[in-house]
Amino acid sequence: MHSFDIMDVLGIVAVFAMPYMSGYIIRNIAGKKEIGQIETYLSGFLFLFLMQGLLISTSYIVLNRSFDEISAYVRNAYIVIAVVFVIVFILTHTLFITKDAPDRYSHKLKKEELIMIGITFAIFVLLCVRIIRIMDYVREDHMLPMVRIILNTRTIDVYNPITSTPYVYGVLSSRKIITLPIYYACICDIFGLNEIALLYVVCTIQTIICTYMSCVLFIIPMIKIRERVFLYGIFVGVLMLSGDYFNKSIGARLLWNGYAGDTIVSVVMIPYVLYVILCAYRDKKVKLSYVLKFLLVLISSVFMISLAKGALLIAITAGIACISCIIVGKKGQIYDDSTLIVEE
Amino acid sequence: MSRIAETMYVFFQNSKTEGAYILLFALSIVILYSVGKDRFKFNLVYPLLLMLGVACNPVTIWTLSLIFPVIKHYSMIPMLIPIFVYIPYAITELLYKTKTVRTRRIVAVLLFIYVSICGNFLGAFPGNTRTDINHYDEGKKQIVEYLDVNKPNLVLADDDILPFISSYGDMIPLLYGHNIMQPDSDLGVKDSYDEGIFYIHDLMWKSDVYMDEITSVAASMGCDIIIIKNYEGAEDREGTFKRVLTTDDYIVYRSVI
Repeated sequence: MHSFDIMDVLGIVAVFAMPYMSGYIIRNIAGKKEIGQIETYLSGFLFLFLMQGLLISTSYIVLNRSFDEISAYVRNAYIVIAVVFVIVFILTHTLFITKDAPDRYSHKLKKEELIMIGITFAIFVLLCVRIIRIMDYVREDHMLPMVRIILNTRTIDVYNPITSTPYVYGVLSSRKIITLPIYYACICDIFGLNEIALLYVVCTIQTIICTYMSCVLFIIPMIKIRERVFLYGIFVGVLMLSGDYFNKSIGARLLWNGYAGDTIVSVVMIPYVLYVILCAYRDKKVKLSYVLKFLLVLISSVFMISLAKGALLIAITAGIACISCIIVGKKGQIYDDSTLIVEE
Repeated sequence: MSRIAETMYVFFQNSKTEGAYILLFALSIVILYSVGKDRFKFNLVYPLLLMLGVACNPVTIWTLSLIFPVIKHYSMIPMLIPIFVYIPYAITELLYKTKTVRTRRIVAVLLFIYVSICGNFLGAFPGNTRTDINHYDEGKKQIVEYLDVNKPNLVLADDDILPFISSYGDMIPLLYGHNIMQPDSDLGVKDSYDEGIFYIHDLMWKSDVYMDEITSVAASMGCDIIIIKNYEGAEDREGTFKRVLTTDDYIVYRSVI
């Protein structure tokens, strides 16, 4: 098994922190006071996939840059995000240029709620243990070979990642739109992470965290009572922990291919799209922020699993949500506002 | 009695994957419909049933797949929402209908255990997953390490060990990769395997019978390493190839030319 050193630890911390930093920037620059911490992290997570898609596809397809140059661009983008985050954070907390989001946890946590948080954390630890235990299992897809060969050869699409032999005819241009293998190779290059550790552990854990956030965000306007949201989260965790995720039946192989584009689209983006559509229906108007969130998901999904599949999955989900809202119609309301109530 | 127990255990294992979670979901719909207010029926159950009726409808999937071939996999969408959203929601609503805190805790623990058993708790039941054949065990590690050290020119390997070589080896050139068995996931490359590759791939399925032919064709294609499944009666020398490594599951031959 790969042994971790301090640089690996810093790299892992950076990978987990980067979505929050980007989400925080977006939230504060957009002046959106109502966006909570969960949605901040999720939107940052999705934004990073959008950013990598635009950056890598532009620099590789249009400008024909080498892997070293692309890796440098991604590194510089991360540095910009980190610097802007620090500036915005300082400005927000000193000059009060933008107000921070309402604090859902301003009421002191009750004993029951603390116990539930402890149980959720314990389930999370068990999930991490389960993920680490399956590190030594090969996956059927080609992501790891692609990342490894990009890192070993410092080239893209010159060597066939499955056979490690040079292509004779080259790669069809339609495949170049899928930038995830290049993005993961850049992350390994920037932070010095082992490819197996990044894909099989770090990315999978991050996907699980975002899945949990996405499911909780979806249900908050329905449940509304804080203690019950924590309980709901526990059983989401139990389902993640106890499911057989090695067959393509449940959660799109959540633990097995957590780094894969179609897994992230199905377990993180789909619930988030449903949440956005239902919020728009609740507010009885289509605000610019909802349109931008939807476009964020739609475009980033294209870079993750392809134009047809990504856009189609998101569009079908949105269609189903809209039809559901129309059917509910005047008789009821799926969502209330997202303010959490603390029962005494 | 032991046979009955064994049958029950096998049945339990086989039902644990998709079947058990589907039953949990059906149960959660019943719970939401009965504990609740009307808002559950209109706001949650009917839209969900609509979603499943549209998204899981075989006619819908078949129709869309005519236009978009990739759509056949989109049926994973309906599996997530019912399981990750509705089951915990139903459990939450059911628990908060209980009268006392003590009862709620007992029921919560029982539901925790019940839901866990319906899954594959902590991966404790290996039989229902495909992880055993995916495990990078000591035998496979020996082979990959041998290849890393000896840096072959071209390797012809059995299908089962191919993904391990490409995932864990250090730029080990293979005559063909494990995508030869997955025509849909060809990475969109213009390079494709010719008839000669498919021919030797077919021979490798019965390496214990066609070893002479395999070594001859492999040598003509420039392979200096052949990895086959271990079988009883395997020779130390086959054509111009000599056995250099034997594990429980595989034999490695190296060209002596």
